[in-house]
Amino acid sequence: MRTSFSLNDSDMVSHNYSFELENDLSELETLCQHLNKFGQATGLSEACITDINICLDELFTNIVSYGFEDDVEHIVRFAINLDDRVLTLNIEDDGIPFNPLEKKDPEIPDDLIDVRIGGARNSYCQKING
Amino acid sequence: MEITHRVENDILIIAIAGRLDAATAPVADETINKTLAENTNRLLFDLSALEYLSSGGLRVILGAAKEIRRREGKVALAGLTQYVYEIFEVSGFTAMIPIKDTVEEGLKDLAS
Repeated sequence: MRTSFSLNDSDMVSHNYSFELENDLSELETLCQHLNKFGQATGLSEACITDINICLDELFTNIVSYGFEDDVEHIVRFAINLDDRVLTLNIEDDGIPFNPLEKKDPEIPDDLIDVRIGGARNSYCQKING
Repeated sequence: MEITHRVENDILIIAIAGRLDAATAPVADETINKTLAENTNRLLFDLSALEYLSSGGLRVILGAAKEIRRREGKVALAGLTQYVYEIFEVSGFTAMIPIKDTVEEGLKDLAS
């Protein structure tokens, strides 16, 4: 596992936080650990950190699941900035370009038996952000 | 993540604790499917100790619920935290699966 993060005193003042994850779903737990550290540094509520976690989780899972066609290790870079109550999340990878905002929401049927399992990841993140 | 199960009054109760996400979903899916192979048609998910749920984990629960419905059985969820409830609500599934505050209420619903 090759994971790193940076957080120093000057960053604490400006609330910048950055880290890297490998393109492996096992890194989801590391993602959570980083966000908990960010939460402690900024004083954001647990509910807010959980919302950030779910958004980054869904995007990272998409990247790992569909972003690469080879079996080579790739690095996904995260940068979080909190400035005057505005939170900015930046994710950078070298995978296949994909804009989740261009993906239509899947239709939700009336009956459970008609549910198509999967495909809700993008709308899920968008609705939480909304 | 930890999954346990027990049977009360012919109702299978599956309790999921910890984090259920895309990383833990494969193990959860396999564990739950093995449990469902016991030919049950009434299933209650006890999610009171579920701390984190993403869409990768949600699909495991929905897959099991759909299988029970395919058997013309009944399924319910119980003990959801506010956060886990919101995940089901945002995804549009709160209208499809009965959600009860406690396991006891879930058992009553499935027994009727």
